[in-house]
Amino acid sequence: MAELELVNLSKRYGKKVWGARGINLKVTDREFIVFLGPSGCGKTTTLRMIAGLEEVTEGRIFLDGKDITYLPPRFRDVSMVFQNYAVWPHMTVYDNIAFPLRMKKMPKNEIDRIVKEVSKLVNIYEYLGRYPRQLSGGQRQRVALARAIAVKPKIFLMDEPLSNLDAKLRVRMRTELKAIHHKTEATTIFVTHDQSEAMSMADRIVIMREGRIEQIGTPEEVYYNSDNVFVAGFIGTPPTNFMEVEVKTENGRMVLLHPHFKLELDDENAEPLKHYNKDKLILGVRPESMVILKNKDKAVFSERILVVEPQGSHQIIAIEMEGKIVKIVAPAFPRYKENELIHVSFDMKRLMFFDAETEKRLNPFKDLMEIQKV
Amino acid sequence: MNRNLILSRKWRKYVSGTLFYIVVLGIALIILIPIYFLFTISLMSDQEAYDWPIRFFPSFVNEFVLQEASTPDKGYLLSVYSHSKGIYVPLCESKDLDTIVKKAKLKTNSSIPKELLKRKIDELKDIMEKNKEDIERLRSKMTPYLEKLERLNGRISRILSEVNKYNKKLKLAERAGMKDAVQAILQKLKSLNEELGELKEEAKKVSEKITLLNQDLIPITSVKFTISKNIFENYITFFKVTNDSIPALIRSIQVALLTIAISLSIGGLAGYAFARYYFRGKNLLKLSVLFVRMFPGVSIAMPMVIILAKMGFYDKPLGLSLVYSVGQIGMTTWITASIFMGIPVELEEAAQIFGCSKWGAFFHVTLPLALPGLAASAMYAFIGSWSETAQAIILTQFNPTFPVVVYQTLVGAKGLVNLVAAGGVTMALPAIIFTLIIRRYILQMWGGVTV
Repeated sequence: MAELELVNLSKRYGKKVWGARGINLKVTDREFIVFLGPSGCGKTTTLRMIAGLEEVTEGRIFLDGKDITYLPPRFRDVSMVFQNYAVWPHMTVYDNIAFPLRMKKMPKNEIDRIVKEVSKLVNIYEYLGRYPRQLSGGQRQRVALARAIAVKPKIFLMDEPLSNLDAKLRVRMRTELKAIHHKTEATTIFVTHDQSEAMSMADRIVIMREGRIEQIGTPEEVYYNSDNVFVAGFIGTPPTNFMEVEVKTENGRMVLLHPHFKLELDDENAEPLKHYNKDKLILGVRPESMVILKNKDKAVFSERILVVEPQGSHQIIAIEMEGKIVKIVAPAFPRYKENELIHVSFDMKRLMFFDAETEKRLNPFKDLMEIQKV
Repeated sequence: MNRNLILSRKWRKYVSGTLFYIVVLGIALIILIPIYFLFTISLMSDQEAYDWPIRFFPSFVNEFVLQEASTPDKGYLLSVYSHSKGIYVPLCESKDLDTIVKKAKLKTNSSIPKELLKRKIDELKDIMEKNKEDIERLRSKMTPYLEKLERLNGRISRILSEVNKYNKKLKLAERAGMKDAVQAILQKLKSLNEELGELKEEAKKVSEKITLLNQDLIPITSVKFTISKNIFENYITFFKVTNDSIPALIRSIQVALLTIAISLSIGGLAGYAFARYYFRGKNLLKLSVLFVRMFPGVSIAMPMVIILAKMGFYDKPLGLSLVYSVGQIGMTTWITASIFMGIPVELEEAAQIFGCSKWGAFFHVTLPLALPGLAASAMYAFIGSWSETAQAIILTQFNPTFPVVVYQTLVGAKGLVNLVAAGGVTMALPAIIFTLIIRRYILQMWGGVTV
C-alpha cells in the first residue's frame, strides 16, 4: 500500500479557467480520503490528474516518494472506478476482470485464481460468464469494483461510483464499499458531491470549491469545526443556519444584535472576538444546536413556526427570520404545529463565528474530546 | 349523434388505414418492379423480352413451328410461339440449316440440334407428301381469297391516303376561314369514311375465310416441336460477347476493396479525432470534409486524369480507388465520427488505467465496439465505388471496371436489353452478397452502437 502526496497541483483549461489550483494533500497509507464539493469544484479533475488521464499544468504528484506527475496511467499502479461503471461491453464479466491482469502478462492459472477470489469478494461470482448488458446497474458497479481490486493497486480512485445507482442501493453499496476497504486495506480516494456519503465513509474529507481545497479533516472535524462559511453550509443536513449580526459592547459585555434577538456572549465565546474590529459578523448555528424551550425566560428569541417536516426519528422545524429560512432539529416529541409560537435558545458551546467579509472562522476549533463530553 | 360520431371515426380509421397501406404498397412496388424487371429480363430471350410485362415470367421452353417457305427456293420457315400475341411469329426463312439454328438461338435462347431440325424437315416432307391432294385443293381454294384481300388492302390504303390529304386541306381551309370549302371537304370526308368502313368489313370477311382455310391447311403443312430454353443463356452470352468482363469484375473487386481500405483507415481516424478531441475550427473542418462530395465526380475525374497519369496510376485499380476515396472519406468520417461518439470515452480511459497505451486502448476497446458500425460504413464505401461508372469511364482506358463493361454493352448491343440486364444482375450480385454478409450491422451505421 502506499502514500500519496500532491504538491501545489494545478490544472488550467485554456488560458484562464482553472480546474484545480494549488492542491496540497498528503494521503497516508490505508486511508480512505473523500473529495467532496459541489459540481465543478475540481474534485474529479484532481482525481483524473492523479490517475494520469488529465495533464498536469503545475505541481507534482508523488506516490511512495516517486514522482509520477508525467507518467502514463498504466505505469502508475493506480486503479479507478468510474461514475458510469466503464465496464467493457464486449467482454464477459470474467474477461473484464481478467483483462488488466492479462495486460500485466500474468500466468493463466494465477489470473483465474484472482478473478474468482475477487468476484467472490464483491458477490458477482455467479455472473462471471455474463455480459455487462445482462447485469443491473449495481452488478455492473460491482464488476468495475472487482476489476479495480484485482490489479492490487497502490491507490484506488473512485469517481462518484455510487451516483448512478438508485437511493436504496447506494446506501447498501456504501456499506459494502467500506467493508471491502477494511478487507483490502487499500489507500482510497473517493470523489462525491453527496456529503452524507462523504461523512459516512471517509477517514478524512477534503472539501473543495472552485478548484481549491477549503478544508481537510475527519468527518467530525469538518462538521463541528468548519473552517469557513462554505464548509459549514455544505456539510450537514439540514445545513448550518447563518445569521448576520452586529457586534456591540454593552455594559462591558459583548453582545450580538440581530433584528429578532439580542445575544449576550459568555467569556468563552467573547474571548476570540476581542481583536475583531469589524462591526458585523456571521453567526453560524447548526440546526441541532438550537433548543426549543418550554417558557420564554431563557429563550434567545420567539418565533412562529413556518413549516414542520416530521422525519420519524426527529422533526425539522422551519421558521422565517429576516427573509431567511432557519431550520431547527427537534426531538420527535412533542409534536409542533404550523404557526405555533416557539421559544428558542442556542447551545452556546457550539456557536460558530465567521468574519463577515472573508467568511473565515473567528472562534478557535473546539477540541473534539470536549465536544464529546457535552 | 354519439353513435354517428363513433361511426365516422371508425370510417376515418378505415380510410386512413387503407390509404396508408396503399402508399406502402406503392412504395414497395416502386422499389420491387424495377428489380423484378431487371431480373426477369436477364432470364428472358430477346424475343420474350419485348413482351414484358404481358409475359411476366421467363419461360423455360420454346414452341417452334416449321413450315415450307412462301416460295420453295427460300427453303424453310421457322416460327416461334409468342405468348403475348397468341400467334407464331416468324423467325427466319432459309435453306441453310446452320443459319436457322443460329438465328433461333439468338432470338429465343434455345439451341435446336441440327439433327432434330433435319428430322423435323423430313417429317414435314412426309406430311406434305401424304396430304398432297388436300393441300392442293385448299391452296387453290385460298388463292382467289388471297388475291381479293390484296386488292382490298390496296384500296383501303389508297383511301386512307386520300383521307389524310383531305384532313390537311380541311385544316388549311379552317385557318383561312373559307366556310364553303370546309363544308365541301367535310362532305367528301364523310363519304370516304363510309367507303372505308365498307371495305374494311369486306376485308374482314375475306380474312375470316382465309383463317378458316388455314385451320385445315396448317396442320398438314407444318411440324410443331418444343425445345427447352437455356435460362442463363444471356449471362453466358454476356461474358462471351464482352471478352474483358471477367478481368473487369476482378478489377472492380480490387477497386472496391482498396477504396474500403483507404477510406476506412483515413476516414476512420479522422472520425475518431472528430469524436474525441476538441480543436479550433473543428466544425468547419467537419463540414468541409463533406464539401468534397458536393462536386460532381466527373468534374473531379478530369483533372485527376492528369494527376494520376503523372503519378503513374492512370488506368490502374489503385488510381481509381484513390479518386473514389476522395468522396468516400468524407462520408466515412461522418459515419465513424457518430459511431465513435456513441462509445463512451471512459471505456478507453479505463483501458488506459488498466494497462493499455492510448493505441492499445483504441485497439482493445474502441475498435471492437465500433467494428459493426465500421463494417456498415465499409459497405457504404463498397457500394459507392462498386457501381460508379462516370469516373471509371474517364479514368480507365484498357483496363475498365465492370460497370464500364456493362455500360459499353448497353451502348454497343443496340437494343439487346436482356444482355444488359444480365450484366446488371451480375454487377448487383457481389454488392448484394456483401450487404447480406454484414446486414446485422447496417442498422448501427448511424451511431446506434449499443453500449
